[in-house]
Amino acid sequence: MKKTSIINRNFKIFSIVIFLCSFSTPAMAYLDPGSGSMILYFLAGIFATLIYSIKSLFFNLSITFNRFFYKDKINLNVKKNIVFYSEGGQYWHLFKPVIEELNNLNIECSYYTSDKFDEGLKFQSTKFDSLFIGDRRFSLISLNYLQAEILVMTTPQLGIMQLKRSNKVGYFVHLIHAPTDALFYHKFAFDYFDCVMCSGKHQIESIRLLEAKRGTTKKKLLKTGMTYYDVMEKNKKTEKQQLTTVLIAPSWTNKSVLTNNFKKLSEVIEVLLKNNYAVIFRPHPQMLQAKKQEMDDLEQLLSVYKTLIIDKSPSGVGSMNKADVIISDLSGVIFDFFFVYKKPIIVVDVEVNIAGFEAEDVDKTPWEIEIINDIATKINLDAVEEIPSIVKIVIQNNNTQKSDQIMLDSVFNYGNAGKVAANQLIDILEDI
Amino acid sequence: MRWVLESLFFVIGGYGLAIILLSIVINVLIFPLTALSEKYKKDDKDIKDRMKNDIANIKKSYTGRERYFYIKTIYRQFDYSNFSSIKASFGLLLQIPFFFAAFYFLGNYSEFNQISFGFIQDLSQPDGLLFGQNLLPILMTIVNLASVYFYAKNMTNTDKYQLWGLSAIFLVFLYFESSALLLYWTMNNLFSLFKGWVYQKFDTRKLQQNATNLLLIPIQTIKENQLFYRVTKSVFIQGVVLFFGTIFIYKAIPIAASDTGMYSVDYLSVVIYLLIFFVLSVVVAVIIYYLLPKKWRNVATILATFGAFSGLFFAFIMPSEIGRLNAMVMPNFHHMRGVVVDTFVQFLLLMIIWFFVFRKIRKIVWIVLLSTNILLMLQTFSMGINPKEISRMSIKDPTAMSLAQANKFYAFSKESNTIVIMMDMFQGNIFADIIEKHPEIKQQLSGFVYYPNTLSHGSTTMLSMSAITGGAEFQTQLIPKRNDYKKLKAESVGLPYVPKNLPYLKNMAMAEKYQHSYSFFSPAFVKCEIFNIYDEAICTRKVILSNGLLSQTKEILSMRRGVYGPDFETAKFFSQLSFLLSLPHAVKLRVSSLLDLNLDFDFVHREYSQLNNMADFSNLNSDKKTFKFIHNLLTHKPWMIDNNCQIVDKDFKGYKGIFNSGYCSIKSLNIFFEKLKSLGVYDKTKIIIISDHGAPYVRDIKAKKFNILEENASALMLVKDFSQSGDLKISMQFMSNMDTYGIALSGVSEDVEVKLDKIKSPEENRSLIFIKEPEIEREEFGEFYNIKRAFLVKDNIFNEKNWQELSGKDIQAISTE
Repeated sequence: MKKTSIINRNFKIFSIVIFLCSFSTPAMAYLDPGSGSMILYFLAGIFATLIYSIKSLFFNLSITFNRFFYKDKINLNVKKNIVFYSEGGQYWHLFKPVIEELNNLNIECSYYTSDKFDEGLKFQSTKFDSLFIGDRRFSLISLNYLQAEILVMTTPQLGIMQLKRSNKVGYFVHLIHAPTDALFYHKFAFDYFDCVMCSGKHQIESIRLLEAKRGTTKKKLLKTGMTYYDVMEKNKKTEKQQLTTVLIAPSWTNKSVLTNNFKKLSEVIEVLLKNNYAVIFRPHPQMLQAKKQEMDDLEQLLSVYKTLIIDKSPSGVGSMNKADVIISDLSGVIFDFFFVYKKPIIVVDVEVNIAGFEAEDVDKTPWEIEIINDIATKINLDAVEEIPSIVKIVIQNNNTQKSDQIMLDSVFNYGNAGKVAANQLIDILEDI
Repeated sequence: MRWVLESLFFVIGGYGLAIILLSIVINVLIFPLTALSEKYKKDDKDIKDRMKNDIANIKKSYTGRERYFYIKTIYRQFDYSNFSSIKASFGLLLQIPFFFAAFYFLGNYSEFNQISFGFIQDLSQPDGLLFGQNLLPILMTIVNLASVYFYAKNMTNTDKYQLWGLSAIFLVFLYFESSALLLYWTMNNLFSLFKGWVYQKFDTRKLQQNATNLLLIPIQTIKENQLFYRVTKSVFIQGVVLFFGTIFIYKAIPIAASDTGMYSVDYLSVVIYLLIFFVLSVVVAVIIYYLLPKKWRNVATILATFGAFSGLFFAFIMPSEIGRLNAMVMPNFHHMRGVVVDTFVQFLLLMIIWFFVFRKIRKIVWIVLLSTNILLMLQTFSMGINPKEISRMSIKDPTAMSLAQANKFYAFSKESNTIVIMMDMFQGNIFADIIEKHPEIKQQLSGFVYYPNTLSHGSTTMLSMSAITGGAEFQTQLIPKRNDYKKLKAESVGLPYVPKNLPYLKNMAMAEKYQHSYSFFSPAFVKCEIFNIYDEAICTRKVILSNGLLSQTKEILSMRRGVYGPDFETAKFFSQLSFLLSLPHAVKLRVSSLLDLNLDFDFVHREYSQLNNMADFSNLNSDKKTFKFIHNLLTHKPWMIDNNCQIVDKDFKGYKGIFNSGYCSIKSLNIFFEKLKSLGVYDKTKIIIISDHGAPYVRDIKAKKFNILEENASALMLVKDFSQSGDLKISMQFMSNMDTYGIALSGVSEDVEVKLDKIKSPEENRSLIFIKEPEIEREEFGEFYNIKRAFLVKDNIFNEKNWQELSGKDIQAISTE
């Protein structure tokens, strides 16, 4: 009886109706073991359903309340053609190539963002309009009132939590924003989209596996590519430094030693500096906020080294231009470094935990875990003193041919994804 | 069940064996149900098992909102919604009626009395076979435990413990039940054990499959029917069905079936009419719905569902008690008086809320509507299929009197009896016209004296009653100055009628003082409990309804305004009644008055029956002298008695009404007097017939012989002292109905106390007060006794010159006398 919380609330309603209509029949029950177990089943069901219903009521009320509160603050009632929704300014470079191409083709589109400082708001064009629609929470609720033919977004989990599949939108498209696999998203990330624009075939495989496992409708999975690579490719330049430059860019995950162990982190930086490397340390933006004290201490400790740059700028492009090698954990940035700059990568061995992620539901090793051994050199932070020599070897052995080949296998339409995406959207528009 | 048992008994000839076979027959009959429920349960368990891992994963990684929404998504992906879990318990729900039937039927079946079976001495008693302890419950528990052992093999320990626990509970629960029930139970459990064994030993899948198909194939066929599917799926249709169902069938048919004796037409035709009303209403509503523009359909759905739930609530969930219908008479909704406006506002608020939430809970609404409709239809069917006719004389109605009670209440003494009969609203001067038209009454009322010149103390019962029962010192204007009244008022602020207890108790005390037993009929104005302090007091409002009168009213009612015939009218009556019952309680009264249903047959035939009861049940069983006070309302409006003394479907407003009801009540009373004569106690009985006031507020009530300024001031007074005989005499002595107390006292005391008896101790130059209006027409404590209008009347009430309206000052003056 432990697992009975999965009984539907309708059951409760039905039982209430029975109760109400059973007019003054005294509550007595009959038992033989067969029906006895059924009675228990029934009672446990009622109990579980009750709890489930209370929860349901609570969450539904909070959503309803929020919607009621936010509704009509932003007028989204004018029917749009193609709408791009961006959760934050960092995604602008993802949408920009697509929007530019649509403009070239004279197709009207709109850009709605949850970031006041989004550069997309400054973008000007005749067939384009942009709007700040409030912070993320607000936006997700406002979007339920949006009217559009197509809504393109990088936000996952459509129809799972606050973000509902509104019937005022004809077609929901998810634009994948990292070259990594689709398996390190929270559960049900893509299940209720009509279409996912994928950057690599590993994503298509994973999504198909999830569909098969869950019996959800087969989505349109497009071979689109990584749209922001178009921008990166255009903007990249090699700024050769005097010293060999190592970029240390940890991701924001609890599992990363680089993030959690500042002592280790400072040791790594220090050993490189001492061995005559220039180091650019680029902390994750959230690290700056959450571990301010540790960051200050670190800066203080390493202030004697003139060849250390701590890069706190929003874009990492400048650092990547300068760096010869990157040390990170299993984050998106290493793939950008590898595919766009074709420079070598070193990763700190991180324990991978798939619990709670899509990966849990399919029998497939996520692409990044599989590929990492081919493209990166792993280091062990217990032997910090070996790092300078590893860096040296890695740079010497860098094979750009290999990275070209891997890219061909893993990224669709490199440098041209924006155009492809725009045309795919136009096709969809014509279809619906 | 009874039928099966009795057939089995007929074939086998022994109840014990019949019970065992009954258990087997029932179990075989419900086997498809059991099999189906097992299948559903298994399906449900399968789907749960499939979801188990996914849910466990979610629970491991997420909490709160995320966990909730992810689990919800899993349900969605596994298509686990709506009926999956309801279906799992469906079998159990359908079996419950069988269980209850067994429990009530076998537990209480009277034929089992003194019937032995094998070692069991008496099937209707616990067996007591094990050294005085009961063997069967223990046997049943052993079988139960064995079944648990079989069934629970694959279960977790918790499940097993729970089943053992339940077996123990049932051992305790059924330990003292009759051995017939236990025998049946034990057999059921044996059957279940046997089934478990068969399931394990043989491949029974095919058998189970066939059994479930027996039920599933018809359901499937229905499901595939497009129309049926649409009707089931539409929230609007379900709402309208519940709404009109509550009005025309769910309530109306069970009421109509509960006593077919209350109307004279054929039950089946009433049901057919009700069904026609229902189907027509639903069809019309649905047509209108489909003619509406899409936008308005949603509003129509909201309205229909709101109406349906409101009706369901007031008619079934929080129903009003209406008691038993004695004829096709609307029950009295007076006690549900409430603030109509408030109710309306509350209703409106609820409606607004409903408009807001409807979209959110549309699906829930649909499920509730559908399941309620199904259940109410089943209930209506089961009650409607078995119409009853209830014998009037044996109604277990709390308002009906038993024969024993009647014999006690109408017991007279051979020695001495005094009886006050107060005929409410009987306008005294009209009695003169009655005896003029029906002179035979003069002979019939032998020994009586008629006092036409009798002034009523007040214009209403409330204003006169105290003085009638307690005498002059309880005149309305004097009451606020009374010490006992002040004390009572201080103690019980806000309680209505309380001061009236005092004169009633005084009335009773007079009986007590002279060792009379006291009977009082009329708790409409007092609570019977106040007489509890005296052992010999019987107070009642109960009546044995007279069959003859009942058939009269039934006939009238079934003929009532019948354009489409009595069947139609009867069906209409039940529809209107159900409609009223489904309304908010506070507006029931208001709406029932709008429906023009207010000719109160119930009241008329009750009061008429009571007068008949006096003749029918009077006897000489009292060993004590008796004093009886009887308050009858037959003479009160609405006057629905024609000149042949038949109850008719008409309110004879005014003179004719008073005349007919007055004449007919005297006629009925005369039968009672004849009975007293035949019992030989007429001479030993003092009879005072009075009224508390004349007819107020109606036109055309001028009497022919004696004309009076204020009609409602003319009270009836007819007095027959002990051992009086000869034709009715008329005396123009100036009397008041408040003299009743004194006249009765001289009767009870057998002329020891004649000081207050104005007949025996006449008063010279008498002047009396007539209270026309109290200050406020409310009967709450304290407010009633302040007088607004009053008259001082001298000598002859029929002479206008003798009437003097009192000024405010005068009123103050008389109040402080």
